[in-house]
Amino acid sequence: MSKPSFSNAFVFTGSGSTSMPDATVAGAINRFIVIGLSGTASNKAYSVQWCALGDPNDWPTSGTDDARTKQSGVQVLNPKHGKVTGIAGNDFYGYIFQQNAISKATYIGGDVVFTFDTFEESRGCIDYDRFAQVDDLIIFQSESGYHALQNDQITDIGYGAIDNSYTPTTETSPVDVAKNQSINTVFFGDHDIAYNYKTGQFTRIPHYSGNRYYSIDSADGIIGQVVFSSGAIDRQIATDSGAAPATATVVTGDFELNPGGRAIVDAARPITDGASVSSMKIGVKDLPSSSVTWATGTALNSRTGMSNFRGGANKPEGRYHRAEFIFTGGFTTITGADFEFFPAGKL
Amino acid sequence: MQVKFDFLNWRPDAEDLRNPGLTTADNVIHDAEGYKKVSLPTSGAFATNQPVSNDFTACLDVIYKPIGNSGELVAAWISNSTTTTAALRIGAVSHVGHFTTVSMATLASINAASLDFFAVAQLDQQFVMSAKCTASKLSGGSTAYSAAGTVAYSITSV
Repeated sequence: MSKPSFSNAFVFTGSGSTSMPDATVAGAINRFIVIGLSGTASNKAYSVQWCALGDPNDWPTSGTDDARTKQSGVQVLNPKHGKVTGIAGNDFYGYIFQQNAISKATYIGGDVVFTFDTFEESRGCIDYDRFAQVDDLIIFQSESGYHALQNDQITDIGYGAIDNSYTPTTETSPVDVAKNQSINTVFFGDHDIAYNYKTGQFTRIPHYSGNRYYSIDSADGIIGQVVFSSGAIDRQIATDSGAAPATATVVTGDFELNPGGRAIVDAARPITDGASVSSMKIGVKDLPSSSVTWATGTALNSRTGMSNFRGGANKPEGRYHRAEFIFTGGFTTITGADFEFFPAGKL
Repeated sequence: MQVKFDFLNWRPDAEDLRNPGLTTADNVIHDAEGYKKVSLPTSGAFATNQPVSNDFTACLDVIYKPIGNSGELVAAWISNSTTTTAALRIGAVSHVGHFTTVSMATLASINAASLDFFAVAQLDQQFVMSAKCTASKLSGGSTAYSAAGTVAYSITSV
């Protein structure tokens, strides 16, 4: 489906009224706008309705000759799967998300218009519009985690990675879900999660407090944020360049530098391109269940690029180590770190 | 002795011990080359005469969604700015005057208000929006008021 380009060459015309019923969610499938119905009447929360063929302003009463002529209709889905929470579509078919199920709507025309096949009866979209669609790929949140849907196949992308730590939440107000296709990333606002669907990796990009995410399509930008401050409202873009870098923090897992024994970390160096590390710490503990004691390193040596720990009051000596890097000055890419250490016995 | 660690996947669910990835990855974005920085948002350009901006001082909740493919936004927001009547408004953000108002009950003072949903869909050069909000009064107990409205716009070349 071609989309118009918005610029000053276009204006919006229209009115504040339409025959369209109030809708909780909406999407385009084939030549129809399909909506989830709003209201407390029986079955409304589990029902979808679609407009007249090619005309979002025409919503004939379901079951009438007018509706049949224009291929408009209503489908009641199985209430046991919860309310309709999302509609994603393309030129040929669409997916109707309920809270615990996904149905595929396929256009066949005639009096039937769409067939509905519920092919997933466990994972669904946890709440209204908690998904992002990139062409035929849909990234969505269920009550158990994060998933990708493509060609009727669901992949549990968050399993073993973030599902337990950042389980999607049910909010009273809609949660922002945004995307930037230029950097292959979608964003979920409830936990500030960013997901690169090409590399299959997650990170976090915290909101400004109280702000909202919105989608952009920019190779230089990361994500749009609507910023509220000092009585003003501003639409801003977090970019890859130009503005001050956000403070980045990466922390490694616990590793054993001297398997079965103790070790002292002498120095560490981030492997980066253009990094400006403001703080580097090494955490130490003797047992997996012990609390971590942190040692702060010196500023990076200009010749070695290393932060040194040997002169500190609390040398990072122990059985298990982890490293924390905080960047306030920005960097291009960070890929890892080097550690210099020496063994310190068994006990 | 020296050892090198690659920063692999961010896996906070995994145990810290021998986690081959990262346990924290804040304000970085991942791509094929590794983790990249994120800059702070730069000031944008909401003109003061835009509808949401006009209502900002009493904008109790707002949701933005993109429409089209050039960064245009539409919004649903709850306004209580000009009178003591709270209103749900739905409209195009950058196009002055193109929003609709759905009146709610007259509320002397709003205690809380939030949007329940904001549905947006586009078919060719037409799009539809539908929103619903719920508000409660500061005094008078937990009485909740709600309003829902739907608007359809077309995009036409000038």
